Amino acid sequence: MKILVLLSHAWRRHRIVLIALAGGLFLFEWLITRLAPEPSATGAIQQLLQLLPPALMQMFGNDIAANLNPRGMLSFGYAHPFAIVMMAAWAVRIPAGSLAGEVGTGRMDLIAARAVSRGAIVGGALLALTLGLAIIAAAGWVGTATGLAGRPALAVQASAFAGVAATQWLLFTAFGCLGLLVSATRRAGGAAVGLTSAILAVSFAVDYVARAWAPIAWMRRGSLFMYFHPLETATTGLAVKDVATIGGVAILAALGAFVVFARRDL
Amino acid sequence: MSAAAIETRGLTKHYGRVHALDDLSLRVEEGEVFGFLGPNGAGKTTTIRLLLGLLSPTAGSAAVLGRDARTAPARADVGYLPGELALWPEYSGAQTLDFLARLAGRPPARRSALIEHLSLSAADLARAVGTYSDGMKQKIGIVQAMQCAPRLILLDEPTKGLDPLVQQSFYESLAAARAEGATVFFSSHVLPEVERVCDRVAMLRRGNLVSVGGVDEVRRAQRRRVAVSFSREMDAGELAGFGPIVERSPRHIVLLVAQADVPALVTRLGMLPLADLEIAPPRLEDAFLEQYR
Repeated sequence: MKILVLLSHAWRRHRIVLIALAGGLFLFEWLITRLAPEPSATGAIQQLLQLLPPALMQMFGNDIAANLNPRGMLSFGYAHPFAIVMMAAWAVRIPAGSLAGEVGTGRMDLIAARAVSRGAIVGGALLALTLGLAIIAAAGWVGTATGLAGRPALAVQASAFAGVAATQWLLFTAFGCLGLLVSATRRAGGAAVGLTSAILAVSFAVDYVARAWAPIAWMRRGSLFMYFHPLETATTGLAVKDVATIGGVAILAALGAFVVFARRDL
Repeated sequence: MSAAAIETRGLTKHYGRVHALDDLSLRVEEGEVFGFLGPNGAGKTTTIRLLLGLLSPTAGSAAVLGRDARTAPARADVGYLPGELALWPEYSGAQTLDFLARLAGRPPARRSALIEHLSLSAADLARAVGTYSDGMKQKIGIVQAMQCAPRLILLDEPTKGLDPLVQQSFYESLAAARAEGATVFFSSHVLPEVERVCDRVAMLRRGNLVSVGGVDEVRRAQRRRVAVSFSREMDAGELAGFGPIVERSPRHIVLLVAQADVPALVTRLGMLPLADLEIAPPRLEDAFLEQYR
Protein backbone atom coordinates (compact mmCIF):
# COMPACT_ATOMS: atom_id res chain seq x y z
CA MET A 1 0.00 0.00 0.00
CA LYS A 2 1.46 3.32 -1.12
CA ILE A 3 -0.22 5.09 1.82
CA LEU A 4 1.86 3.01 4.25
CA VAL A 5 5.05 3.82 2.34
CA LEU A 6 4.17 7.51 2.73
CA LEU A 7 3.39 6.97 6.42
CA SER A 8 6.79 5.39 7.03
CA HIS A 9 8.35 8.30 5.08
CA ALA A 10 6.65 10.78 7.48
CA TRP A 11 7.75 8.72 10.50
CA ARG A 12 11.36 8.68 9.33
CA ARG A 13 11.37 12.42 8.71
CA HIS A 14 9.53 13.57 11.84
CA ARG A 15 10.16 10.88 14.46
CA ILE A 16 12.55 12.94 16.57
CA VAL A 17 10.06 15.80 16.81
CA LEU A 18 7.28 13.34 17.62
CA ILE A 19 9.30 11.75 20.43
CA ALA A 20 10.18 15.20 21.81
CA LEU A 21 6.54 16.37 21.78
CA ALA A 22 5.24 13.16 23.33
CA GLY A 23 7.99 13.23 25.96
CA GLY A 24 7.29 16.88 26.72
CA LEU A 25 3.58 16.33 27.22
CA PHE A 26 4.20 13.21 29.32
CA LEU A 27 6.48 15.16 31.67
CA PHE A 28 4.11 18.12 31.82
CA GLU A 29 1.04 16.08 32.76
CA TRP A 30 3.10 14.12 35.26
CA LEU A 31 4.31 17.39 36.78
CA ILE A 32 0.71 18.62 37.12
CA THR A 33 -0.09 15.57 39.27
CA ARG A 34 2.83 16.57 41.50
CA LEU A 35 1.49 20.13 41.86
CA ALA A 36 -2.20 19.29 42.32
CA PRO A 37 -3.40 20.10 45.85
CA GLU A 38 -4.74 17.30 48.02
CA PRO A 39 -8.45 17.59 48.86
CA SER A 40 -7.62 18.65 52.45
CA ALA A 41 -5.64 21.69 51.22
CA THR A 42 -8.20 23.12 48.81
CA GLY A 43 -10.50 24.66 51.46
CA ALA A 44 -7.90 27.19 52.66
CA ILE A 45 -7.12 28.33 49.11
CA GLN A 46 -10.84 28.74 48.36
CA GLN A 47 -11.06 31.08 51.37
CA LEU A 48 -8.13 33.14 50.06
CA LEU A 49 -9.91 33.49 46.73
CA GLN A 50 -12.94 35.05 48.45
CA LEU A 51 -10.66 38.01 49.27
CA LEU A 52 -10.42 38.94 45.55
CA PRO A 53 -12.35 42.10 44.48
CA PRO A 54 -15.85 41.09 43.28
CA ALA A 55 -15.21 42.17 39.66
CA LEU A 56 -12.04 40.08 39.44
CA MET A 57 -13.74 37.20 41.16
CA GLN A 58 -16.53 37.33 38.58
CA MET A 59 -14.07 37.43 35.71
CA PHE A 60 -11.50 34.82 36.73
CA GLY A 61 -12.22 33.65 40.25
CA ASN A 62 -14.98 31.19 39.39
CA ASP A 63 -12.76 29.38 36.91
CA ILE A 64 -9.88 29.29 39.37
CA ALA A 65 -12.15 28.08 42.15
CA ALA A 66 -13.46 25.30 39.93
CA ASN A 67 -9.90 24.18 39.23
CA LEU A 68 -8.81 24.26 42.86
CA ASN A 69 -9.30 20.59 43.47
CA PRO A 70 -7.33 17.61 42.16
CA ARG A 71 -9.69 16.86 39.26
CA GLY A 72 -9.86 20.54 38.24
CA MET A 73 -6.11 20.98 38.38
CA LEU A 74 -5.46 17.85 36.33
CA SER A 75 -8.11 18.91 33.78
CA PHE A 76 -6.47 22.31 33.51
CA GLY A 77 -3.29 20.50 32.50
CA TYR A 78 -5.00 19.41 29.26
CA ALA A 79 -6.06 22.97 28.33
CA HIS A 80 -2.84 24.64 29.50
CA PRO A 81 -0.97 26.61 26.81
CA PHE A 82 1.99 24.23 27.13
CA ALA A 83 -0.20 21.22 26.30
CA ILE A 84 -1.80 23.19 23.47
CA VAL A 85 1.61 24.09 22.02
CA MET A 86 2.74 20.44 22.16
CA MET A 87 -0.32 19.25 20.25
CA ALA A 88 -0.45 22.26 17.92
CA ALA A 89 3.17 21.80 16.86
CA TRP A 90 2.29 18.45 15.28
CA ALA A 91 -1.09 19.63 13.96
CA VAL A 92 0.66 22.45 12.09
CA ARG A 93 3.92 20.75 11.08
CA ILE A 94 2.64 17.57 9.43
CA PRO A 95 -0.05 19.01 7.14
CA ALA A 96 2.14 21.93 6.07
CA GLY A 97 5.22 19.77 5.51
CA SER A 98 3.48 16.88 3.76
CA LEU A 99 1.65 18.84 1.06
CA ALA A 100 2.60 22.51 0.57
CA GLY A 101 6.12 21.98 1.91
CA GLU A 102 6.85 19.17 -0.56
CA VAL A 103 5.28 21.12 -3.43
CA GLY A 104 7.32 24.21 -2.58
CA THR A 105 10.65 22.40 -2.52
CA GLY A 106 9.87 20.44 -5.69
CA ARG A 107 10.13 17.09 -3.92
CA MET A 108 6.43 16.44 -4.52
CA ASP A 109 7.34 15.88 -8.19
CA LEU A 110 9.23 12.71 -7.26
CA ILE A 111 6.26 11.39 -5.28
CA ALA A 112 3.39 12.45 -7.55
CA ALA A 113 5.20 11.35 -10.73
CA ARG A 114 4.88 7.75 -9.55
CA ALA A 115 1.78 5.58 -9.60
CA VAL A 116 0.53 7.22 -6.42
CA SER A 117 -2.89 8.84 -6.43
CA ARG A 118 -3.35 12.32 -5.02
CA GLY A 119 -5.78 10.73 -2.55
CA ALA A 120 -3.02 8.45 -1.25
CA ILE A 121 -0.73 11.46 -0.75
CA VAL A 122 -3.36 13.30 1.32
CA GLY A 123 -4.28 10.02 3.03
CA GLY A 124 -0.67 9.44 4.06
CA ALA A 125 -0.49 12.92 5.54
CA LEU A 126 -3.83 12.44 7.34
CA LEU A 127 -2.66 9.13 8.80
CA ALA A 128 0.63 10.66 9.99
CA LEU A 129 -1.31 13.55 11.51
CA THR A 130 -3.87 11.48 13.41
CA LEU A 131 -1.48 8.75 14.57
CA GLY A 132 1.12 11.29 15.71
CA LEU A 133 -1.48 13.28 17.64
CA ALA A 134 -2.76 10.04 19.19
CA ILE A 135 0.77 9.20 20.36
CA ILE A 136 1.28 12.69 21.87
CA ALA A 137 -2.16 12.75 23.56
CA ALA A 138 -1.66 9.19 24.86
CA ALA A 139 1.76 10.18 26.25
CA GLY A 140 0.07 13.03 28.14
CA TRP A 141 -2.51 10.65 29.60
CA VAL A 142 0.21 8.17 30.58
CA GLY A 143 1.92 11.09 32.36
CA THR A 144 -1.28 11.71 34.33
CA ALA A 145 -1.74 8.01 35.09
CA THR A 146 1.88 7.57 36.18
CA GLY A 147 1.70 10.64 38.41
CA LEU A 148 -1.61 9.59 39.97
CA ALA A 149 -0.24 6.13 40.73
CA GLY A 150 2.29 7.85 42.99
CA ARG A 151 -0.26 10.10 44.72
CA PRO A 152 -3.21 8.02 45.91
CA ALA A 153 -4.17 10.85 48.31
CA LEU A 154 -5.54 12.84 45.35
CA ALA A 155 -8.35 10.26 45.15
CA VAL A 156 -8.76 10.61 41.35
CA GLN A 157 -8.88 7.75 38.84
CA ALA A 158 -6.65 8.13 35.78
CA SER A 159 -9.40 6.56 33.66
CA ALA A 160 -11.45 9.75 34.15
CA PHE A 161 -8.89 11.55 31.95
CA ALA A 162 -8.88 9.07 29.08
CA GLY A 163 -11.89 10.88 27.62
CA VAL A 164 -10.16 14.24 28.10
CA ALA A 165 -7.10 13.03 26.21
CA ALA A 166 -9.38 11.63 23.50
CA THR A 167 -11.20 14.97 23.02
CA GLN A 168 -7.85 16.76 23.08
CA TRP A 169 -6.74 14.42 20.27
CA LEU A 170 -9.97 15.06 18.35
CA LEU A 171 -9.68 18.84 18.78
CA PHE A 172 -6.16 18.96 17.34
CA THR A 173 -7.06 16.46 14.65
CA ALA A 174 -9.71 18.97 13.56
CA PHE A 175 -7.13 21.77 13.53
CA GLY A 176 -4.75 19.47 11.67
CA CYS A 177 -7.42 18.72 9.06
CA LEU A 178 -7.99 22.45 8.62
CA GLY A 179 -4.21 22.65 8.20
CA LEU A 180 -4.38 19.95 5.52
CA LEU A 181 -7.04 21.93 3.68
CA VAL A 182 -4.91 25.07 3.87
CA SER A 183 -1.80 23.15 2.82
CA ALA A 184 -3.63 21.56 -0.14
CA THR A 185 -4.15 25.03 -1.60
CA ARG A 186 -0.66 26.49 -0.98
CA ARG A 187 2.62 26.29 -2.88
CA ALA A 188 4.97 26.85 0.07
CA GLY A 189 5.27 25.23 3.48
CA GLY A 190 5.88 28.55 5.21
CA ALA A 191 2.57 29.98 4.03
CA ALA A 192 0.72 26.86 5.19
CA VAL A 193 2.43 27.00 8.61
CA GLY A 194 1.55 30.68 8.96
CA LEU A 195 -2.11 30.29 8.01
CA THR A 196 -2.72 27.18 10.11
CA SER A 197 -0.99 28.72 13.12
CA ALA A 198 -3.11 31.84 12.67
CA ILE A 199 -6.34 29.79 12.61
CA LEU A 200 -5.28 28.03 15.80
CA ALA A 201 -4.14 31.18 17.60
CA VAL A 202 -7.24 33.18 16.66
CA SER A 203 -9.48 30.29 17.71
CA PHE A 204 -7.75 30.09 21.09
CA ALA A 205 -7.77 33.88 21.62
CA VAL A 206 -11.43 34.23 20.66
CA ASP A 207 -12.43 31.50 23.12
CA TYR A 208 -10.29 32.97 25.91
CA VAL A 209 -11.42 36.58 25.50
CA ALA A 210 -15.08 35.75 24.87
CA ARG A 211 -15.19 33.69 28.06
CA ALA A 212 -13.84 36.57 30.10
CA TRP A 213 -15.92 39.36 28.52
CA ALA A 214 -19.67 38.80 28.36
CA PRO A 215 -20.49 41.27 25.52
CA ILE A 216 -18.59 39.11 23.02
CA ALA A 217 -19.50 35.76 24.53
CA TRP A 218 -21.41 34.87 21.32
CA MET A 219 -18.11 34.80 19.46
CA ARG A 220 -17.08 31.62 21.26
CA ARG A 221 -19.26 29.63 18.87
CA GLY A 222 -16.72 30.42 16.16
CA SER A 223 -13.93 28.76 18.11
CA LEU A 224 -13.32 25.02 18.22
CA PHE A 225 -11.97 25.45 21.76
CA MET A 226 -15.54 26.15 22.90
CA TYR A 227 -16.28 22.46 22.41
CA PHE A 228 -13.33 21.29 24.54
CA HIS A 229 -14.22 21.06 28.26
CA PRO A 230 -11.61 18.99 30.09
CA LEU A 231 -13.18 19.40 33.56
CA GLU A 232 -16.71 18.49 32.44
CA THR A 233 -15.39 15.56 30.43
CA ALA A 234 -13.35 14.32 33.42
CA THR A 235 -16.40 14.68 35.65
CA THR A 236 -19.36 13.58 33.52
CA GLY A 237 -17.75 11.91 30.51
CA LEU A 238 -17.74 12.77 26.80
CA ALA A 239 -20.38 15.20 25.53
CA VAL A 240 -21.73 13.73 22.29
CA LYS A 241 -22.66 17.13 20.87
CA ASP A 242 -19.14 18.51 21.35
CA VAL A 243 -17.52 15.40 19.90
CA ALA A 244 -19.88 15.51 16.90
CA THR A 245 -19.15 19.19 16.28
CA ILE A 246 -15.36 18.84 16.43
CA GLY A 247 -15.47 15.57 14.49
CA GLY A 248 -17.74 17.12 11.86
CA VAL A 249 -15.29 19.98 11.30
CA ALA A 250 -12.43 17.47 11.04
CA ILE A 251 -14.25 15.32 8.47
CA LEU A 252 -15.37 18.27 6.33
CA ALA A 253 -11.90 19.81 6.36
CA ALA A 254 -10.26 16.47 5.46
CA LEU A 255 -12.72 15.90 2.61
CA GLY A 256 -12.00 19.42 1.38
CA ALA A 257 -8.28 18.69 1.42
CA PHE A 258 -8.78 15.50 -0.63
CA VAL A 259 -10.90 17.31 -3.23
CA VAL A 260 -8.70 20.41 -3.52
CA PHE A 261 -5.42 18.51 -3.74
CA ALA A 262 -6.80 16.08 -6.34
CA ARG A 263 -7.74 18.97 -8.63
CA ARG A 264 -4.78 21.30 -8.26
CA ASP A 265 -1.69 21.70 -10.42
CA LEU A 266 1.54 20.74 -8.73
CA MET B 1 -1.77 0.62 -34.96
CA SER B 2 -0.27 -0.28 -31.55
CA ALA B 3 -0.51 2.07 -28.59
CA ALA B 4 2.18 4.71 -28.62
CA ALA B 5 4.43 5.29 -25.61
CA ILE B 6 3.26 8.91 -25.66
CA GLU B 7 0.40 10.42 -27.59
CA THR B 8 -0.89 13.96 -27.18
CA ARG B 9 -3.78 15.53 -29.05
CA GLY B 10 -4.21 19.27 -29.03
CA LEU B 11 -2.52 19.41 -25.65
CA THR B 12 -2.78 22.96 -24.31
CA LYS B 13 -1.85 24.65 -21.08
CA HIS B 14 -2.57 28.29 -20.33
CA TYR B 15 -1.84 30.18 -17.13
CA GLY B 16 -4.17 33.13 -17.50
CA ARG B 17 -2.82 35.08 -20.46
CA VAL B 18 0.39 33.08 -20.61
CA HIS B 19 0.21 30.30 -23.19
CA ALA B 20 2.73 27.79 -21.87
CA LEU B 21 1.74 25.17 -24.45
CA ASP B 22 -0.57 25.39 -27.45
CA ASP B 23 -2.21 22.57 -29.33
CA LEU B 24 0.60 20.04 -29.11
CA SER B 25 -0.09 16.86 -31.07
CA LEU B 26 2.74 14.38 -30.86
CA ARG B 27 3.24 10.63 -31.05
CA VAL B 28 6.28 8.85 -29.64
CA GLU B 29 6.52 5.16 -30.47
CA GLU B 30 7.66 2.53 -27.98
CA GLY B 31 11.41 1.93 -28.07
CA GLU B 32 12.24 5.39 -29.45
CA VAL B 33 14.68 7.85 -27.97
CA PHE B 34 12.92 11.13 -28.55
CA GLY B 35 14.58 14.51 -28.09
CA PHE B 36 12.59 17.53 -27.04
CA LEU B 37 14.31 20.79 -27.84
CA GLY B 38 13.58 24.42 -27.16
CA PRO B 39 14.94 27.43 -25.34
CA ASN B 40 13.89 28.30 -21.79
CA GLY B 41 10.18 28.95 -21.57
CA ALA B 42 9.38 27.06 -24.78
CA GLY B 43 7.07 24.64 -22.95
CA LYS B 44 9.29 21.54 -22.61
CA THR B 45 8.90 21.15 -18.85
CA THR B 46 5.20 21.99 -19.05
CA THR B 47 4.76 19.17 -21.58
CA ILE B 48 6.57 16.67 -19.37
CA ARG B 49 4.53 17.73 -16.33
CA LEU B 50 1.33 17.31 -18.32
CA LEU B 51 2.44 13.82 -19.36
CA LEU B 52 2.95 12.95 -15.69
CA GLY B 53 -0.40 14.31 -14.56
CA LEU B 54 1.32 16.92 -12.38
CA LEU B 55 -0.59 19.58 -14.35
CA SER B 56 -4.10 19.45 -15.79
CA PRO B 57 -4.41 20.51 -19.43
CA THR B 58 -6.46 23.55 -20.34
CA ALA B 59 -7.52 21.62 -23.45
CA GLY B 60 -6.60 18.46 -25.30
CA SER B 61 -5.46 15.13 -23.96
CA ALA B 62 -2.34 13.12 -23.28
CA ALA B 63 -1.94 9.36 -23.10
CA VAL B 64 1.06 7.57 -21.65
CA LEU B 65 1.58 3.88 -22.48
CA GLY B 66 -2.01 3.80 -23.68
CA ARG B 67 -3.54 5.31 -20.54
CA ASP B 68 -4.91 8.74 -19.71
CA ALA B 69 -1.92 10.66 -18.32
CA ARG B 70 -4.02 12.14 -15.50
CA THR B 71 -4.55 8.74 -13.85
CA ALA B 72 -2.12 7.13 -11.39
CA PRO B 73 -1.94 3.75 -13.24
CA ALA B 74 -0.53 5.56 -16.30
CA ARG B 75 2.60 6.27 -14.24
CA ALA B 76 3.09 2.68 -13.07
CA ASP B 77 5.76 2.03 -15.68
CA VAL B 78 7.26 5.51 -15.95
CA GLY B 79 10.54 6.85 -14.59
CA TYR B 80 11.05 10.60 -14.27
CA LEU B 81 13.99 12.90 -13.66
CA PRO B 82 12.84 16.48 -12.96
CA GLY B 83 14.73 19.44 -14.39
CA GLU B 84 15.00 20.99 -10.93
CA LEU B 85 15.77 17.96 -8.81
CA ALA B 86 15.04 18.30 -5.07
CA LEU B 87 15.77 15.48 -2.62
CA TRP B 88 15.27 14.99 1.13
CA PRO B 89 18.52 16.29 2.64
CA GLU B 90 18.32 14.14 5.78
CA TYR B 91 18.05 10.89 3.78
CA SER B 92 21.12 9.03 2.62
CA GLY B 93 21.41 8.24 -1.08
CA ALA B 94 20.45 4.60 -0.39
CA GLN B 95 17.42 5.61 1.70
CA THR B 96 16.28 7.96 -1.07
CA LEU B 97 16.51 5.20 -3.68
CA ASP B 98 14.76 2.68 -1.38
CA PHE B 99 11.90 5.06 -0.62
CA LEU B 100 11.32 5.98 -4.25
CA ALA B 101 11.51 2.33 -5.38
CA ARG B 102 8.94 1.32 -2.73
CA LEU B 103 6.72 4.15 -3.90
CA ALA B 104 7.05 2.94 -7.49
CA GLY B 105 5.91 -0.47 -6.28
CA ARG B 106 8.45 -2.33 -8.43
CA PRO B 107 11.77 -3.95 -7.57
CA PRO B 108 14.82 -1.80 -8.41
CA ALA B 109 16.13 -4.39 -10.89
CA ARG B 110 18.51 -2.01 -12.66
CA ARG B 111 19.84 -0.16 -9.62
CA SER B 112 23.14 -1.94 -9.11
CA ALA B 113 24.09 -1.64 -12.80
CA LEU B 114 23.29 2.09 -12.76
CA ILE B 115 25.21 2.66 -9.53
CA GLU B 116 28.22 0.94 -11.03
CA HIS B 117 27.92 2.82 -14.32
CA LEU B 118 27.67 6.20 -12.61
CA SER B 119 30.53 5.41 -10.20
CA LEU B 120 28.51 5.76 -7.01
CA SER B 121 30.34 4.04 -4.15
CA ALA B 122 28.78 2.42 -1.08
CA ALA B 123 30.24 5.28 0.99
CA ASP B 124 28.55 7.84 -1.28
CA LEU B 125 25.21 6.09 -0.88
CA ALA B 126 25.57 5.96 2.89
CA ARG B 127 26.08 9.74 3.17
CA ALA B 128 23.22 12.21 3.75
CA VAL B 129 22.00 13.75 0.49
CA GLY B 130 22.36 17.18 2.12
CA THR B 131 26.15 16.77 1.87
CA TYR B 132 26.11 15.92 -1.87
CA SER B 133 27.40 18.12 -4.68
CA ASP B 134 24.97 19.00 -7.49
CA GLY B 135 26.56 16.36 -9.72
CA MET B 136 26.11 13.67 -7.06
CA LYS B 137 22.47 14.63 -6.60
CA GLN B 138 21.97 14.40 -10.35
CA LYS B 139 23.44 10.89 -10.33
CA ILE B 140 20.94 9.86 -7.64
CA GLY B 141 18.23 11.50 -9.74
CA ILE B 142 19.20 9.43 -12.77
CA VAL B 143 19.32 6.19 -10.76
CA GLN B 144 15.90 6.79 -9.17
CA ALA B 145 14.38 7.48 -12.59
CA MET B 146 15.72 4.29 -14.18
CA GLN B 147 16.25 1.83 -11.29
CA CYS B 148 12.90 0.04 -11.64
CA ALA B 149 13.43 -0.60 -15.38
CA PRO B 150 10.43 1.50 -16.51
CA ARG B 151 9.02 1.17 -20.03
CA LEU B 152 9.00 4.94 -20.42
CA ILE B 153 11.71 7.26 -19.08
CA LEU B 154 11.06 11.02 -19.01
CA LEU B 155 14.24 13.01 -18.53
CA ASP B 156 14.25 16.79 -18.14
CA GLU B 157 17.78 18.03 -18.83
CA PRO B 158 19.44 14.89 -17.45
CA THR B 159 23.11 15.77 -17.92
CA LYS B 160 22.94 19.07 -16.03
CA GLY B 161 25.83 19.19 -13.58
CA LEU B 162 27.49 15.97 -14.78
CA ASP B 163 31.15 15.98 -15.78
CA PRO B 164 32.00 14.65 -19.28
CA LEU B 165 33.09 11.24 -17.98
CA VAL B 166 29.84 10.71 -16.09
CA GLN B 167 27.89 12.01 -19.08
CA GLN B 168 29.50 9.27 -21.14
CA SER B 169 28.45 6.68 -18.53
CA PHE B 170 24.96 8.12 -18.56
CA TYR B 171 24.71 7.71 -22.33
CA GLU B 172 25.78 4.10 -21.95
CA SER B 173 23.08 3.55 -19.31
CA LEU B 174 20.56 5.09 -21.66
CA ALA B 175 21.70 2.81 -24.46
CA ALA B 176 21.32 -0.22 -22.15
CA ALA B 177 17.78 0.84 -21.19
CA ARG B 178 16.94 1.30 -24.83
CA ALA B 179 18.35 -2.11 -25.71
CA GLU B 180 15.90 -3.55 -23.19
CA GLY B 181 13.05 -1.84 -25.04
CA ALA B 182 12.55 1.31 -22.95
CA THR B 183 11.25 4.49 -24.55
CA VAL B 184 13.14 7.64 -23.63
CA PHE B 185 11.68 11.15 -23.83
CA PHE B 186 14.55 13.51 -23.40
CA SER B 187 14.47 17.28 -23.02
CA SER B 188 17.76 19.08 -23.41
CA HIS B 189 19.57 22.25 -24.37
CA VAL B 190 22.70 20.32 -25.26
CA LEU B 191 22.31 19.80 -28.99
CA PRO B 192 25.29 17.52 -29.65
CA GLU B 193 23.96 15.13 -27.00
CA VAL B 194 20.48 15.09 -28.56
CA GLU B 195 22.08 14.57 -31.95
CA ARG B 196 24.09 11.69 -30.56
CA VAL B 197 21.43 9.95 -28.48
CA CYS B 198 18.05 10.57 -30.14
CA ASP B 199 16.27 8.96 -33.08
CA ARG B 200 13.77 11.77 -33.53
CA VAL B 201 13.50 15.32 -32.26
CA ALA B 202 10.75 17.85 -31.77
CA MET B 203 11.39 21.56 -31.44
CA LEU B 204 9.16 23.85 -29.44
CA ARG B 205 8.99 27.60 -29.63
CA ARG B 206 6.85 29.69 -27.30
CA GLY B 207 4.60 26.74 -26.59
CA ASN B 208 4.18 25.73 -30.23
CA LEU B 209 5.61 22.72 -32.01
CA VAL B 210 7.72 24.09 -34.87
CA SER B 211 9.32 20.93 -36.16
CA VAL B 212 9.37 17.19 -35.60
CA GLY B 213 11.20 14.45 -37.42
CA GLY B 214 14.20 12.15 -37.50
CA VAL B 215 17.49 13.74 -36.47
CA ASP B 216 18.94 13.11 -39.96
CA GLU B 217 15.79 14.42 -41.59
CA VAL B 218 15.90 17.64 -39.57
CA ARG B 219 19.58 18.03 -40.30
CA ARG B 220 19.06 17.46 -44.04
CA ALA B 221 16.23 19.97 -44.15
CA GLN B 222 18.62 22.52 -42.76
CA ARG B 223 20.34 24.97 -45.14
CA ARG B 224 24.06 24.30 -45.53
CA ARG B 225 26.67 26.83 -44.60
CA VAL B 226 28.90 27.38 -47.68
CA ALA B 227 32.15 29.34 -47.36
CA VAL B 228 33.72 30.41 -50.70
CA SER B 229 37.12 32.07 -51.24
CA PHE B 230 38.06 33.62 -54.58
CA SER B 231 41.45 34.32 -56.13
CA ARG B 232 40.38 37.90 -56.92
CA GLU B 233 37.76 40.35 -55.70
CA MET B 234 34.19 39.32 -56.48
CA ASP B 235 30.77 40.92 -56.36
CA ALA B 236 28.74 39.03 -53.77
CA GLY B 237 25.65 39.67 -55.87
CA GLU B 238 26.89 36.88 -58.20
CA LEU B 239 25.78 34.31 -55.63
CA ALA B 240 22.86 36.12 -53.96
CA GLY B 241 20.30 34.01 -55.80
CA PHE B 242 21.41 30.83 -53.98
CA GLY B 243 20.57 31.97 -50.46
CA PRO B 244 21.17 34.63 -47.82
CA ILE B 245 24.74 35.89 -47.53
CA VAL B 246 25.79 35.94 -43.88
CA GLU B 247 29.42 37.12 -44.22
CA ARG B 248 31.18 38.98 -46.99
CA SER B 249 34.60 40.48 -47.74
CA PRO B 250 36.14 41.32 -51.17
CA ARG B 251 37.47 37.76 -51.70
CA HIS B 252 35.36 35.72 -49.25
CA ILE B 253 31.62 35.00 -49.05
CA VAL B 254 29.65 32.82 -46.63
CA LEU B 255 26.07 31.97 -47.54
CA LEU B 256 23.32 29.57 -46.46
CA VAL B 257 22.14 27.29 -49.24
CA ALA B 258 19.27 24.81 -49.32
CA GLN B 259 20.44 21.22 -49.74
CA ALA B 260 18.71 20.95 -53.12
CA ASP B 261 20.51 24.05 -54.48
CA VAL B 262 24.03 22.89 -53.58
CA PRO B 263 24.72 21.13 -56.96
CA ALA B 264 23.67 24.24 -58.92
CA LEU B 265 25.86 26.42 -56.69
CA VAL B 266 28.88 24.16 -57.25
CA THR B 267 28.31 24.34 -61.01
CA ARG B 268 28.12 28.13 -60.84
CA LEU B 269 31.26 28.35 -58.69
CA GLY B 270 33.11 26.32 -61.33
CA MET B 271 32.69 29.27 -63.69
CA LEU B 272 34.21 31.71 -61.17
CA PRO B 273 37.85 32.19 -59.99
CA LEU B 274 37.45 29.81 -57.05
CA ALA B 275 40.36 29.54 -54.55
CA ASP B 276 38.70 27.45 -51.82
CA LEU B 277 35.30 25.97 -51.01
CA GLU B 278 33.97 24.63 -47.72
CA ILE B 279 30.50 23.12 -47.36
CA ALA B 280 29.86 22.40 -43.68
CA PRO B 281 27.99 19.20 -42.86
CA PRO B 282 24.44 19.92 -41.68
CA ARG B 283 24.18 20.22 -37.89
CA LEU B 284 21.16 20.03 -35.63
CA GLU B 285 22.49 23.12 -33.91
CA ASP B 286 22.06 25.11 -37.12
CA ALA B 287 18.48 23.92 -37.42
CA PHE B 288 17.90 24.87 -33.80
CA LEU B 289 19.44 28.30 -34.18
CA GLU B 290 17.52 29.01 -37.36
CA GLN B 291 14.24 28.13 -35.64
CA TYR B 292 14.88 30.37 -32.66
CA ARG B 293 16.88 33.22 -34.15
